Amino acid sequence: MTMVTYDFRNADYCVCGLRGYKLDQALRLWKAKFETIKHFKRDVIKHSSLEELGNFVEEMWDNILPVAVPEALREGNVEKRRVMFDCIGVSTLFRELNPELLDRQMVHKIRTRWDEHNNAYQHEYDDIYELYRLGGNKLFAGVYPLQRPESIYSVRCWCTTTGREYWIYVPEEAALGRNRWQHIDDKPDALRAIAWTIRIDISSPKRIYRQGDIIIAEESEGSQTVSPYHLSKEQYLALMFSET
Amino acid sequence: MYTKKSNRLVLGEGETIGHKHVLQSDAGVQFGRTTECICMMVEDVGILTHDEHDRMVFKKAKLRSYNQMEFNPMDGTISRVFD
Repeated sequence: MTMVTYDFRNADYCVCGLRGYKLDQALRLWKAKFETIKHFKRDVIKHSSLEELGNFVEEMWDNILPVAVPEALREGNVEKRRVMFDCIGVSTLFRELNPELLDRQMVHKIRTRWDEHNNAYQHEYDDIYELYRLGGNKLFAGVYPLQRPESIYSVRCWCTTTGREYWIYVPEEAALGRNRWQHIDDKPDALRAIAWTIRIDISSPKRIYRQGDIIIAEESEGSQTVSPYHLSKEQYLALMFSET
Repeated sequence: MYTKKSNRLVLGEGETIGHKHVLQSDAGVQFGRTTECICMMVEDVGILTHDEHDRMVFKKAKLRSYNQMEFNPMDGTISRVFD
């Protein structure tokens, strides 16, 4: 058997689906994209022939300068700029580029929780959801309008247990309540946007639970497996039984 | 649908810190994995724990576990959120 080897220092790399990056460019994109070297190795070093690259990147990791928003905005190539935004990530983009707040809703919630003896009690609190837009003209300034990607949307929320802030990208139809081809007024709704982030594949769920990023749907007597669908705002508000 | 049984089932592991969402049941949990979710049948009491979140307690029930989803506007795909 022949061991597959290659010259990783002079190879071309593919990042976020775009080919043609030299190693130094790929390293800066990977540093922005992956929170730790562990995440990089898990997602990139998927074959034993890449082990040498993995070891090299691990040695370099702490000294790699990640790509940043200002240089992404200076990148003239739209596809390369898109990859840079993809690697930089939603939280940094929306924090640094002064997005437009489209909707903010506070929801008073009464949710079931359990004490250390597994006894249920009612927990009452307020939760806030914010929906933001970053215009394509801001992200892709200098690009001919017809080549310019559309605006992007993100819902901002806070974990009620840890207090940690989260930004989650949502599609335009979840953000505005319409598809791009529909000539109707925008109806931005932060709750519809957060509801979209829950996708299940059973009809008539009895209850829904959320522990961090894990969603549990409890089946009812009449539940059947169906094509996956995103929750509507109404389903989200009616079915959510416990959140922590 | 429920091809396996265990007293302890990991439903997810956090990307950042590595904490796990663990469902435990003395009576066992029957389960099976699909591309969309983990289908579970809790036969008695099941307790879902995580180092940073409050516990959740389930009585006998059929449950499905999913990850929260997010959109990627840069390539138009939908993928799972890992906190």
